[in-house]
Amino acid sequence: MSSAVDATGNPIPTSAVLTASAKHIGLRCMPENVAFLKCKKNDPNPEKCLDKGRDVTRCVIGLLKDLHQKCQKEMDDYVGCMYYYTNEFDLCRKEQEAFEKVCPLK
Amino acid sequence: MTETMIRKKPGMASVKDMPLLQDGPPPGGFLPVRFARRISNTGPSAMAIFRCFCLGGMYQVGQGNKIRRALKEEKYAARRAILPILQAEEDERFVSEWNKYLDYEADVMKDVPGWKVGENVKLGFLHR
Repeated sequence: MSSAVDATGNPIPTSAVLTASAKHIGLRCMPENVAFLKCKKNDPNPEKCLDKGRDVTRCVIGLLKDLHQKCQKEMDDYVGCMYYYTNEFDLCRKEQEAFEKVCPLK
Repeated sequence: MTETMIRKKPGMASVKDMPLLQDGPPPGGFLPVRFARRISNTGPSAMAIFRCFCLGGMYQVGQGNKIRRALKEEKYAARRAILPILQAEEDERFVSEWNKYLDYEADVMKDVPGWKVGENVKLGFLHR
């Protein structure tokens, strides 16, 4: 499947979409990610870290929706390129630059 | 007949006495021309040239490795960034499946006396 959105227009967290927005996720969802990983390190039991996991999921899905609303065409192009080249950053530099020009990494 | 018109000498008896019309050197001769080799024996030796090329190549390899390491770091940073969401999604799925399995096990073994649900599966981190 190469489309980035499902029927209602929300971005699906496929590997192409996630790697395309990985830099944004790493920047803007860093607190939730770090909290989740710390919880996991203390206790690998999945039942114990479910709430932090829900925080992470909420942050990332919200971020994907936000990015998709702001720069829809560039994000779709970048995700399409990532899907075509199986998440190789070096083969999609043009689309990456266009994407980061419209949705900059603050 | 035209040659005699060009080269004639007054008082010449026959064609055999015509003066020579030759292409020759200028009076005093041509200027001297150097044709001797002048290849000097100074300069780097073969070993030195080989070492220079080797060092240049090693430098290029190092630069290339720097670029490749940067690309790999970019890939690893992306993976680190999306690891938590993938793990969170998998945790949710696993917890729901695990609970479904434990319910199924309780249902199957409900008539067996003294059976503790979930005890027979040795998962390192789950102790329910």
